[in-house]
Amino acid sequence: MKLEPNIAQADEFVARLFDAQEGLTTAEALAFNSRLALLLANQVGDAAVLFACIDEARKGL
Amino acid sequence: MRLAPQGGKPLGLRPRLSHGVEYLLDRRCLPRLRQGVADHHLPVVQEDFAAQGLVPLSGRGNAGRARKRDRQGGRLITPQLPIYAFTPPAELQSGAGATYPVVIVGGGLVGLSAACDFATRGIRCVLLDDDNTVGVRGAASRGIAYAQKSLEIFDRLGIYERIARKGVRWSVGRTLAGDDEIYAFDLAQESLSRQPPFINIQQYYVEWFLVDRIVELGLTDLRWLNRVTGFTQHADHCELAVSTPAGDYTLRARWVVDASGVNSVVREAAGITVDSAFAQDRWCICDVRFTRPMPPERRTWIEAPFNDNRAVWQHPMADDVWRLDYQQDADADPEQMARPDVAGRLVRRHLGDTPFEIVWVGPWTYRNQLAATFRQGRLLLAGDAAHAFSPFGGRGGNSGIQDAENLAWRLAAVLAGRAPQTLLAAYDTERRAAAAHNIAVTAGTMRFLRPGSPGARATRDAILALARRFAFAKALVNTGRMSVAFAYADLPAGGQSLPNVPLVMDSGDACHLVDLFRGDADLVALWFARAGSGAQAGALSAALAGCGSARLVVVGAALPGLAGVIDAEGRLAAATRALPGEVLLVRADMHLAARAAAADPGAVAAAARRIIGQAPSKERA
Repeated sequence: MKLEPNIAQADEFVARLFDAQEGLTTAEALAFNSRLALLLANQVGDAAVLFACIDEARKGL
Repeated sequence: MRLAPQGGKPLGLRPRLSHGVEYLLDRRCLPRLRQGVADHHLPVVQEDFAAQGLVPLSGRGNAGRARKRDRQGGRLITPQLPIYAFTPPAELQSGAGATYPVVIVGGGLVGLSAACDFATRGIRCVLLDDDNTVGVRGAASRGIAYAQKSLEIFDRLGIYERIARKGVRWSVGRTLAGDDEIYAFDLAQESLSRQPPFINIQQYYVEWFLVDRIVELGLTDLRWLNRVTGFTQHADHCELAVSTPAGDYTLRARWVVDASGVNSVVREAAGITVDSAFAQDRWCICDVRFTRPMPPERRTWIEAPFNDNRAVWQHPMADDVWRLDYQQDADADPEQMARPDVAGRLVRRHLGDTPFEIVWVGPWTYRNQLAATFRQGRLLLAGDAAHAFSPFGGRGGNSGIQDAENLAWRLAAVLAGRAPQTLLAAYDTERRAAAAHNIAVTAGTMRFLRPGSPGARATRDAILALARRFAFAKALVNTGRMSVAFAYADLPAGGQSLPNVPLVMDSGDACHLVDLFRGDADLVALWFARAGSGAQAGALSAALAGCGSARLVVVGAALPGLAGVIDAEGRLAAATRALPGEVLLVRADMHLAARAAAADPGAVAAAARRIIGQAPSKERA
């Protein structure tokens, strides 16, 4: 898992994320975030990395 | 461009127009305070702090009075701000007067910076201000955080030493969520400049120092209690309608600089439209004096347990005063927020048992606003008159100071006949691009601090959760991207602002880069000469002749007849990555405009002419 900063134009990324989520209900936002997770997962590809990310995201919930 | 934060709507408070400031409550409610920067301070003043066991500031001093005391005759808690005399202008006696080269409307941070800059360049101007003191009435401070670029400009203008003595240097910022520090930065680690990354100081001190310096330079006609009520523009001059306690008059100017604030009458009269969006976010500033030792750091809580898990800002200022700024509910009532008992409770929960004095309370919101153009013929807009955005990152006043510098050297060169009027076109393109950038950057912070949808809120919470553990998420935490000089990307060399690095003069005396730019230099050519390259000196000097008031400075080699400096610490090289044999062309505002080979004087001349707005020559030397 990469944990050091690796997102180009990080502030712009967050801004576009917020833009995309605007106007969505909680349920719709959950659907959006799930789709986004799946699309990004397909970009990553590596199973070990994906499984580690799933474990990490689940912590504390 | 994203202008609107969350498509908010205007507050239901009645704006009151006045030069440079905007009252959102009737003046009767503002007995001693004038409103702060743009409209993002909505002061609601209460006079009964003493009844709550808190000590109020009793406002600015009046002429001839001793320093003010609170109503119980208590402690001295505010400096007496200077009061400047009103002198009936000559135009009132004689009718129509002269046509002045430059009239500046507005004696705030930006107007005074411009007047001081013009004076250092030998340009006489008239400055009109509708008040007769500095800052805002009372102890309201408006801008507090002065960034390195502003401090470098103040060094050139001659007031930096006073600011450094009075203010609080800081470079470390910490962001907390609950009790956890989730993000910290130290801006000093990357700094090459003589000036620190930031000095915090109340704005009225900066304005006060600027007035003193302007008076010392002796070229500016400062007209206090002169309120502009109208503006018209003609082919070769502008006319301003001015109202004073002694009567009204008309003032003629070849050029007008409008630095009169977010509700500018001049801008409105000129018909320059603004694109505005109001935020749905409310905060309450409590400027508080206390003596508990705390490190001089900027601290921001995204979720402060002592503010019902809303955001809190904590900034040091001069005189042991701290700016404590508390995010409120989006629909919070400003009157309620500013009640002494309510404000006092906010601070008490924050500071615990520490004794404190509330100096000023100001509920505020903000807008994003951008003028359609910053130049219309002979009218130049600067500061809040041209642009406004939220204060996150300290970008408002600092960008206005850069506006003033950018326009001052251009207009000075035009007035002196060194440059064509077309040089002013880039003032609009450069500074409007800077303002648009600042709006986008501050809007990002605003959205992080007040997510506008359930999805954005969940994303923000996820970033905070991961930021406690992982560096990548810390980088996404946005409590304000601190003001830095805007780089003008259209310039061939990238347009970065060079830091005020230490140098050594030929004489052996220490100096700094800014010292090469004093006076009326339009540009400085830094020649990183190779050994034995003296034969090129004559050709380079000839190439720069007629390119404004260009100065040729040799770096690292002593050549007879030419000014020279040594980059003893290597910081100039580090900042510019200059190569031996290169000439760097640096504008009057210390932005790196172009690079050329010293061996090609024709290229140096062409680049220099472009900087000064002259068509580049096709001739090759």
